[in-house]
Order: sequence, then structure tokens, then C-alpha cells
Amino acid sequence: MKKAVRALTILVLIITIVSTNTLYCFAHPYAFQHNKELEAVLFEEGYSKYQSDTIRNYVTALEYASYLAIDQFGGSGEYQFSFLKTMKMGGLPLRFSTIDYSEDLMGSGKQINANTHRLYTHQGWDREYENASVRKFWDARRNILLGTINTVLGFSRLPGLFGYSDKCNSLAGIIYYVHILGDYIEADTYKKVSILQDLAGHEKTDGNDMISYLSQYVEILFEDQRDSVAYKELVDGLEAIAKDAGTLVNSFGGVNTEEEFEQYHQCAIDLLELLKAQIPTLLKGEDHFRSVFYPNI
Amino acid sequence: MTKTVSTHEIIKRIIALILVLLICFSSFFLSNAFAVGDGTEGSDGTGSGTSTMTDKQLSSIAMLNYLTVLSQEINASTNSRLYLDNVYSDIVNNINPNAVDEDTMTQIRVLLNTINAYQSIETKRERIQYIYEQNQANAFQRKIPNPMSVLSLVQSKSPIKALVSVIYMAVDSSDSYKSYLSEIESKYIEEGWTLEDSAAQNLHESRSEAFEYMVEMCQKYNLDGMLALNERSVESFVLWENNPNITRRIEFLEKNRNTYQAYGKYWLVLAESYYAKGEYAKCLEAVKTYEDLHINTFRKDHDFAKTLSIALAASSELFTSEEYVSRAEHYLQLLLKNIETDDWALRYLAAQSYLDLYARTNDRNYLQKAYDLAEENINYLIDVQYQKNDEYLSEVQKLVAKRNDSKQRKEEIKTFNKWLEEERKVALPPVYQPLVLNCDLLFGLAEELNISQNNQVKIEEMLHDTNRPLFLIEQLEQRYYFNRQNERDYPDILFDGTVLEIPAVMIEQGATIRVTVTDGDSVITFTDWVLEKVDRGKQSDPQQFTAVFKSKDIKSQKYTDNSIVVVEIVPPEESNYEIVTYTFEVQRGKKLLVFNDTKFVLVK
Repeated sequence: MKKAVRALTILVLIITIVSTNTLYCFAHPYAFQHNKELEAVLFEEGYSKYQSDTIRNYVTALEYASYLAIDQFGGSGEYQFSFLKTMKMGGLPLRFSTIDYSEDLMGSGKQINANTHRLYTHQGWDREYENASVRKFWDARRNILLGTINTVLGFSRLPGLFGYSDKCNSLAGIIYYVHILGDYIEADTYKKVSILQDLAGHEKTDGNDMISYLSQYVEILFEDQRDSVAYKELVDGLEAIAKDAGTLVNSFGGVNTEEEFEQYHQCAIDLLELLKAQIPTLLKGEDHFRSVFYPNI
Repeated sequence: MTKTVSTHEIIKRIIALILVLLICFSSFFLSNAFAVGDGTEGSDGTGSGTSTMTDKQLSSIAMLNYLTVLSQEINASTNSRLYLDNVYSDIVNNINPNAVDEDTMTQIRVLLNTINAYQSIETKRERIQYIYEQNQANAFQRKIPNPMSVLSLVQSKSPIKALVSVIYMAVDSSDSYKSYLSEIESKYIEEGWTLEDSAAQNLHESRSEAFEYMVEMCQKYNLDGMLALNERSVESFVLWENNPNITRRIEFLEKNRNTYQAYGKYWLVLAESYYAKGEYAKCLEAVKTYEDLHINTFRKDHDFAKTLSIALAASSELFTSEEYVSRAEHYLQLLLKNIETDDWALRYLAAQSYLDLYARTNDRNYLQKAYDLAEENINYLIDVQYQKNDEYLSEVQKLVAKRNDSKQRKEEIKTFNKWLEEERKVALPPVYQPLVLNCDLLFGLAEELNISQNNQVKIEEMLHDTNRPLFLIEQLEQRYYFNRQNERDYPDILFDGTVLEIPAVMIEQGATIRVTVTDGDSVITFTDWVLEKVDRGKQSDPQQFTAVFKSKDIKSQKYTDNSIVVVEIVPPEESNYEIVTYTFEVQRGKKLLVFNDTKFVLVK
């Protein structure tokens, strides 16, 4: 009998482990899809990241930093962490364990898994958490991406002293939301996005939605290009999508029907397409970005 | 007696069954990401056949197959950067944008942008391309010294077979650049011909992305996966394509037909291999198969145009004159449809082929076609000659490295600038050999056709702009006239017994000096003349440039009053213009009544 119980326990454990890994496969299945989306937003169509070792390494660094900041959990990501260290990217803690999200930050001892890893990392780039542990954790995570962007693009020389510039933070925010949009797009039910920051609908209240923040980042990052066609189209596009998505979020009960979810999902797709259409041109127009990624221009 | 299965055993079996199911379940997801198969990718390897695919889908895969193989060919080449420079310029503006879908076009751009990043600096590429073309023109001249020789009664074989080898001169082999080089060019020409390892690696990774894209494309649109190549099949193809053992190469290509049959270049390589083996019928079959694929991913299919030169040669070996003529017309039509304005070499081969058809049929229309092609070539090549002249007469344009250029790029620029500086000290006026080659052909054809006075004037007006000479070399500038008026004398040269000063406009690169000293029965010839410098002074007029030649051997020569010195400027071996001769008499006297003074007086 004891043997039977032990065998059943093992069986249940195996099912649990394999299922959670399989479930993970149903979220944006592989990091490379997030990477592809990020590259499509940062660079114009046909851009080759293989045109030099420097560019290839910088693109990889941004992708790894994005992954470590947003999606890392359960001990994975040491390779990516080492890569950033080797590349001398800023903002990294001494030890990998500082940013490893393996246990619940509230101290319950629960292990973080694919279903729970988004709790404190997918709530908004500039989200300020009240809980000190969470705040400390999220700051450390943000620094990975901020430090990497700052090293790659050289926004400020002494971020340790003067902090990261607004432009650096804005670009980090855009990169962050590209990842979140990838998760939105991969979802097939509202439940799978309920834990993510809303796309829109909070602009008149606490402003805590994706498009409100994106609009701010765009305004800061591309302040010198406000007269350009790409900028105007981006801003107009953000407003239009915010209106549609906001209507759904603020509807009775929120997004709680299949039909509403389909429309909401389409908003996420449209938003990512909008970013892909306009951001590359605007980034190419920024000196910091162009000098690194378009050195021959 | 039935055996009772224990609870323990039941539980073990259930666990095993669940594990098996879970493994199968997980494998389903893994198989979507990783390539499986023996040479091609696809959902189930059988597919529903090409008939359900749209033309754009077919073209998109064909294009990606082409580019991934090209990328591997670059990496496999011994002189990989040189190969890359050549192939990139061939395809970058040649993709038919209507033939591929937008997503594929984006992927194509990624591959092309990767390749582009590793090109040599533009001016260096142009310089190397120029040297290759000089070599190619010389090779044509060596194969057919008299461009009209195909009309000779003695000529029984088609000239095309001889010319095909010139068309196939490897762009990445140093042999294709060796003749017609100045000493400085020889010193610098092979610098930076190989890509750095990191560049090769980046090309490889960019290619891997293209394979991933093709897999996705096949799955997304439920396309026949047999059409898309993968890394393994591409590597194998390029390896065997370069295998010098033709029999083994053919063996591989034939045995792996299923893997590559939808890939156009496979049939061209097969055709070329059969031709090299002398299996002309099979060669033509392979060409026909390629033709039937109706590949339209390029605006101009250069590879196919090259292979058509082989088809012409193979046909001339296989068929009687009558049957050859109709086939040749078909191939020539296709060839001309698939070449650009600057494909002068293939157009020259086509002109010679029409000349050959005229020789077989006496149909003067073929003669006219040959003439039209030579004229078309000349109209393009004239501008290249003018450009070279302008570069020669201007100050050296050194390149400036940008702040963000890589270390390799900065080194490349530094070396190239050194090349320019050293070369300028001994630079002789440029002669664009492809233009000379085509001028010789055109004038020969003009004579055969007995062209009208108006057409003669037209040709002379094309070649001789009133404001500037076409050739800075006098012998050539005076050569291409139907009715030359006011022929002018060649400029004088100076000789002081050991040093020759020759106006630079009298001597082109590759020409040699021969000095013969005759004194009674003694006749000694000195051929070790070396160009020491080209003195431009402060002039920009090339007529004032002086080429200074010295000979070590002649230093020991003693002259008497009876000595006669004959200086011959011998044109390069493949040239068709005359040797220019100058004769000097020796006058010995005394300077200040004391010192021996030997003068060399030019006899006019």
C-alpha cells in the first residue's frame, strides 16, 4: 500500500511538472518570438543585425535584457545574464540570484511558475509598488534593461550618479510594452491577459494603462521629431486604438465576453503593427540610435 | 489458471502509459520548431505538389533558396570577400519585386543587407572589377586575335567553345586578375580578399534565419516542403558544386535530383557539369529543364544567360549546321533577354555567335545583328573609358574613414589609399580593353557590311567627341576612324644613352620597350626597361606627362659615332595597333673642349 501511494505521488508530480512546462509552451512559446517582435519594432524592414559583430551583440544584449527584466523566473536565464556581464552592460547586480524570480516576493515560500511569473513584472514599466520587497525587486529588474540600453546607446555617462535619462527610460518602456503586447497577442482568452496591464481606458483616471504610458514615452523619446509624418501618424494611431480599447475596458463588466475579447485582442495586434510601422523610422531619426545601428548613414 | 495482476503492477503500467503520452505530446510542440528531414523541410514531406501553390509562393521559395545557396557559396569561396563583392552587385537590383510576397521581400532584404555590410569599399570594388574586365577582354583577344576570323574559310569550328571559358573566368580566383597588372596593382590586388571569420559567421546566422522563415512559410501556407532547402542540403550542394572531379560531381547531382529538382540553379550546375564532361546532349536537356521551370524571380537571369553560352557551344558540337542555326537563334534570343547593358562580355559572345551564323548561312541579317550588338557595347563602354580618363587626370581621391567604421574597414581604407598614392607615381594612361575589343569587332563588321557613309559618320561621332579624346594613348586615338583627316605625328621621345623619356600618351600599361643598338656588325637589343616614374610636373594636360624608363643592362653600352639606336614601343601582346619606332643617331663631341659629350639625336 505504501508503495502504491508513493507511486501515485510520483505520478502526480510528473504530471504537474510536465503540464506546467507544456502550459509554458502555450504562452508566447519561445523567447525568439518576443525577439522577432522587438526587432521588428526597433529596426526598419530588411534590417540585418548581422552586418557587424557589434550590432549583432548589441541586439542580442537588448533582447536578453528584455527577457531577464520581464520574463525570467525559476532560475533560468543565467546564460543571458553572463552574456550581459561579458558585454559589460550596465545596471547588472553582482549576482544572478538578485534578479532571479523563483519565490513569491511576499514571503509565502511559494515557487514561481509559468502561471504566476507575470505578477510583479507585467504590471507596467513605471509601476510603483508599495511593498518594499517588490519595489526593490522590480527596481533591480528595471536596471537590467535601463543599464543595457544606456550602455548600448550611450545616453548618459554616469547613470550611477545622475540616474538614467528620461529618453533611456522611455525607450526601455517601449521595449517593455512590445513584450507585453506579444503576450497579449499570444493569448486566446481574456483570463490569460487579465494579469497584464490594460491596453487603455485609464487615461481619465489614474493613467495606468499601456497606451497612456506609451504616449508619454513617445513624446519624450522623439521630442525633436514632433513635426515628422511618422510621429504624427504614431500619435494619431495611439489615440485611435486607445479609444477602441478603452471603450472595451470600461464597458459593463470589462472585457468579459468572447466577442469583446476578440475586439480587444485585435486592438493589441493593431497596436503592435502601429509600433512596427512608425517606431523604426523615428528611432533611425535619433542620433544616439542611428550612430550605433545605422553607422553607414 | 489466470494470473492476478497486483495493484502495484497496475499503477506502474498506468505511470508508464501516461509518461509515453506526455512524451508524445511534448514532441508535437518540439517538432514545430526544429528541422527534421534528410534535405528539405515541410510539414509532412509529401505535400500536395506545386500545382496548389501560387506563383508568388513558388518564386518566394525559389528566391530564398537562391540566396541561401549564394550565402554559402560566399563562405565556401577561397576569396570570399571578392566573391561576395561580385555576386552582390549582380543581384541587388535584379530581384523582380513583383515575383515575391512582401514578407519574403523583407527576409530577402535582411540577407542582402547582411551581405552588403561586408562588401569592400566601393572604389576598391570598382578597381578590382575593372582589372577583372581587363583580364577578360585580354582573354577574348587571346582566344580570337582577329575578331573576324570566324569568317575565314580555314575556320571550321565554332568560336563559341573557345569563348565560353572566358565567360566562365572565376571572379574569385587570382588567376582571373593576373595578366595586365602593373607592379603596384600586383602588390595590392590581393589584399583583403577574404572575409574575416566573424563575417562568415554572421552570414551563416543570417542564412539560418532565412531557413527558419522558409519553414514557417511552408507550414503557414501548407506549402510543399520539398521545395525549400535547408542548411544541410545547401552546404552539400555548394561543396559538390565546387568539387573539381566532374564525374563525382555529376554522380552527386544525379543521385540527389529529388532534393534539388525544384531549385533552379541545380539544373544550371548540372548543365555546366555535363558540358565539362563532354556530355552535350545531357547538357542541353538540363538547360531545357531549367527553361521549363519558368523562374521569374530575377528581372534578368544572369546565371541562365551564362549557361546559354554553354548551350550554344554544346549545340555546335552535337548538331548539323542547319539544326544548330535554329537552336542558336533560340538560345541567343534568351541570352540577350537576360543580360544588362553592362554585360558586354556576353553581348560580345553573342555578336561572335551571330557572326558564326552568318558564316554558316550567308544571311546578312546575322551580320547586321552582330554589328548592332558591337555598337551597343561600344555605346556603353565609351563612358567607362571617359570615367577612367577623368580619374587619371584628376588629383588622387583618397578615402576618409568614418568615425564609426570598424577597425577592419579603417585598415582597408588605409591600405587602399596607399595603393592609390603609389600607383599615381607610375600611372600610365588607362586603356579600357573591352572597348578596344569591341571597336576592333565593330570596325571589322563595318567593313564586311560595307556600311554607308552616314553610319560611318555616326560611329566616328560616337567615338570622337570634339572636346576630348576617347583614348589618351595616341596610337589608339588615331586608330578608329573610317576616314581620318589631318593625321598628326606622334610626339618625340628623349634618350640620353641610359634613360628614356617617353610621353605617357605613347605608352599604355602592358606595352614594352625594345632598344636596339647597332654599331657596324654589332647588334644588341635591350629589353629590361622598367618604368621608374611618370612625371606630371604641374600639368593637367596628359600630353605633357613623361614616362621615365631605365635599363640596368644598357648602362654598360659604349656608343660610337656609328651607333644607331632604335627605340620600339611595342604594344601589349593582344593589341592590334602598330609598333612605334624612333631612331637616334649618336653624335660624340667635347663639352668645354675637355669632357666627352655624347648626344642622341632623333632622326625624323
